[in-house]
Amino acid sequence: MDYLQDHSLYVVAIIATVIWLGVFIFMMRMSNRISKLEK
Amino acid sequence: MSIYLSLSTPVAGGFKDAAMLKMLGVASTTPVMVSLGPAVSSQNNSTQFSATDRFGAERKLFAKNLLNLKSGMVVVGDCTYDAGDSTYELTNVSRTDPAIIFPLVQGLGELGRNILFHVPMSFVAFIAFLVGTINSIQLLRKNDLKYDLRARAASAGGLLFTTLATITGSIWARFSWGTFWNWDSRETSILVLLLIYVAYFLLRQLLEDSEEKKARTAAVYNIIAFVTVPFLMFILPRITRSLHPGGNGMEAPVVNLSGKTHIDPWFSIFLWINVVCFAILFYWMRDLFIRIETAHQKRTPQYN
Repeated sequence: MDYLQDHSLYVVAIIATVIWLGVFIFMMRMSNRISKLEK
Repeated sequence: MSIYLSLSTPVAGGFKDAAMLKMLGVASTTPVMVSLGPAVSSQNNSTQFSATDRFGAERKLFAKNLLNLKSGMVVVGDCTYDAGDSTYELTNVSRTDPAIIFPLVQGLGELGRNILFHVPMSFVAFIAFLVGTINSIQLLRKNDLKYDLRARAASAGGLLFTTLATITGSIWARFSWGTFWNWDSRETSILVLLLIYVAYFLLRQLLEDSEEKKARTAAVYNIIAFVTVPFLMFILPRITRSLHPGGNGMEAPVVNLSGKTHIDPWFSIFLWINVVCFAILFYWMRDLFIRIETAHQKRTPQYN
């Protein structure tokens, strides 16, 4: 718990980056699926 | 990468910020960046350094139980100010020799970095609405339904980024102004803008007519809707009483008539990097929207 409190800035940054990475992966997969549909 | 750096880069001020925030009763500790000079004295795990802050101010700085500190180091840490004997004490060290540092905006603290998300999202929303309007004009001129799809895709992106800018702004308002929503002219104008574009999609969806007529009617509405965008986004909050920067006749830090940005150089660099990143994300979303809708239309009998 102390570690999380001392490094709260990194924790927030990592969580936000993971969320954006999730959006990126979701869009990537969506793009691939549409590509398959378009063929 | 840019998002991670925007959030993890430390915010730090100087000795003046630490003293002012302590005397105003805003914060007992303030993050500061100091360059440690020679140790003046040392006793009982407490070392007194001659330190220089990021603005060049030199003060005596106590460091208790921070044994790893050495002369010549540049450190970011929490600093307390004792008004009684005008001394500064470093209570902890969060970063040593940082490559990038964001400025401490008094009254905002860590919240100041929200400018790197809130402002780029607003910019991209404006770009999206502009692209949507250009597509609507193209539809009216060329009578090609592909421009209707492009206009809808761009306006949907605009609506999404306006919503994100409103959410980030609302969170900012909660901690700076006290409440998530207080009907400030900035907040009201952006809500009106959101409703105008929600109406665009409702109009396009609910009209009972041929696809061509629906597209043309929606295009005319979209062009008229865009006329309100500069007014609601930039003009109205600047000519009315508002807590938002730029209100009450004050010059806004980013978008203003002088054409200069009044923000820290590092903030400025990350702000424009994030504008480009969000613009790329918008373009990608718009492209996906068009491709999904085109695939859907190919499989729906009424379009064939």
